[in-house]
Amino acid sequence: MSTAVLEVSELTVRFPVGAARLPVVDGVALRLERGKTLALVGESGCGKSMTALALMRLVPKPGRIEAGSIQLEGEEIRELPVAAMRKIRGGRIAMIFQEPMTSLNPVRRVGVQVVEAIRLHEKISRPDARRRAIELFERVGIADAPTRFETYPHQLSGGLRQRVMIAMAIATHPAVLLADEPTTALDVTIQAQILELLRELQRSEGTAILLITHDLGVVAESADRVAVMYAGRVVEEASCRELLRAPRHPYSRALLAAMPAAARPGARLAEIPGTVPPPAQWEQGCRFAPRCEFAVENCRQTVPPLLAFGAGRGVACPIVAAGPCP
Amino acid sequence: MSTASPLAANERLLRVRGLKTWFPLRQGLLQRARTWVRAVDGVDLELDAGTTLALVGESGCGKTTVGRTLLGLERAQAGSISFGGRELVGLPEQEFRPLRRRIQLIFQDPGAALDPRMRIGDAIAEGPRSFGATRHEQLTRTLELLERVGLDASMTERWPHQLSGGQRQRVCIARALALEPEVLVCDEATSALDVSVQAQILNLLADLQRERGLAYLFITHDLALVRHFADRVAVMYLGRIVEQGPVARVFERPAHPYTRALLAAAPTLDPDRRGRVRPLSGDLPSVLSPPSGCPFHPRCPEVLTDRCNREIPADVAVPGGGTARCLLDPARA
Repeated sequence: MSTAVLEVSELTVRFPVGAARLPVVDGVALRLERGKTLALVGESGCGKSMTALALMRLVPKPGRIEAGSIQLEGEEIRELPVAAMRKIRGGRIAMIFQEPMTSLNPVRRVGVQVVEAIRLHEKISRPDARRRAIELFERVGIADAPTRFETYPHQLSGGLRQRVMIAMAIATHPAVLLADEPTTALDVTIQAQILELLRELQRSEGTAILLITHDLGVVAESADRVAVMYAGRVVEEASCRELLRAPRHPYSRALLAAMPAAARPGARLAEIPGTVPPPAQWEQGCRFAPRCEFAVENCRQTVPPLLAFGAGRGVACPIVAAGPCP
Repeated sequence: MSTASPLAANERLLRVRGLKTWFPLRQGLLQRARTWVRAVDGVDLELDAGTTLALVGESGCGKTTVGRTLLGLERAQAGSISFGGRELVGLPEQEFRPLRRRIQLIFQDPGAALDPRMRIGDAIAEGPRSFGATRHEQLTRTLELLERVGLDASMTERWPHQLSGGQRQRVCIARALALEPEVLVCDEATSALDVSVQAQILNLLADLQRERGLAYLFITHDLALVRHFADRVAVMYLGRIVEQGPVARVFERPAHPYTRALLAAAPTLDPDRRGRVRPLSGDLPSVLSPPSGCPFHPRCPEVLTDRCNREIPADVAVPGGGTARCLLDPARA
């Protein structure tokens, strides 16, 4: 197995609610390898975006990382001083978001913003940085780069704005790219372009990508491995093909079965009864147990750990792991 | 509350012909309309009772404007909307009002659709009340509807912010059904919902259609959803329908290059398909300056004839059902 670029274990983020401190990210372990994409999948409120923010050490107050380890290329960064962390953000770890409009300054030209991002991490003259930035614009497929360089964010389409964000993100040759729903706001033909661009950049730069998404179609298009999150925990981790072909955890199975793409046209969709519980209502045992058709009494008592299930696969369900699957 | 005129056996519930909805761009001192945004530019559609027509396309293609025009929320510039045998275009407001009840809308953000200061019970009863239902009728109807959409009777006392996204969409469905419509326009009605909740809402809509013979106009960008849910599909590009037909035919043998590109770009659950498809290049052109000739020709990945940038293609029948607007022979695919 190749070495991990980013290795996360037992990551726990808690938010105070009344007297309690609720673990919205609860003992998450992830492993990113060079040149590979790990998809972190789940429905709203499962903790996937909070996990990404925690990796950047950007958990909003009053939340706090309370436990765990985050190792970037062998270096522990969980307790790193703020100044050192600031160097890492946008340097060795870069991030792109769903709506680039909220990450770009609306009143400044996009080119200048990229130049600044470069100069923040590198001692380089303004003209040199400008040349580099234009090269980057071309690199991410922005046609007519010198002209687009002088435009304001609102003058660009959603797809072009995301390309600008990607140009900014790859400027420092980051080892890790965190991509939080990078194509969710885009049309399908533009989404296909951006996913293709990310794949191509990954091939040439060897970037490790953590792709955060709710869309299993996007996962199928771009992930090598997948971690499925539910209510703050990773419930299944597997290769992309294994997960999509034969999901094991009852939640992963239900999630895939509920997708219109998985159903016969016109047939009833498989529903997951109930809704994702908010943190205040999480059970002490398996948090999916109240909605799970296979749950037994014990499921509600003890937290199931991620159990090995075949080679390189983990399932947080003792019933499934005990085998012949129900 | 039945004011529906009986339809002749061979008549469509809804028939749209040459619909144009243009928005003026006013300029200069006198605010004269110098240019027009041709959001909907000659659309033909047909919808039968008890069936679902999906209207698909990318942002800015005009699909939402088509829905809003049907509801009387935008004024049609030209064309005809025949609903239950009556012409809606050009109808004075007083005559339109009773018909409005029969076409209802649910949309993407159920949070924005509900008045935050109105209890759920009042929100559902608002429509029937405005059409003169008594308090008793309003209450029985509300309770009936809540039960039908899978919500508890105690919901009547709750406020919108106390509900989850899925529950709010159920309330919006109940609110739309309160007026016993014949057509429900669903504009990205499940796009903001999580997959597991989306499945619940789609199943509910399918059940309601079966029970009540509702016709759905499903406006969406999600092709997997269309394939699963719709009977017919119309593909829109820059204000025009470029292809329409039965869902199975359009998905299996798409006749228009844009439909083919759209289907190819849509992610599937098959990891082995990855990277096999060349994405369509370029962005959508602006509706302000649409390309000459076929609106798709600047992005068209297929063989262009020298007519593509000059002639606007007309509808050509496609074997297996439906039509396509392409100068290449749509039957060749």
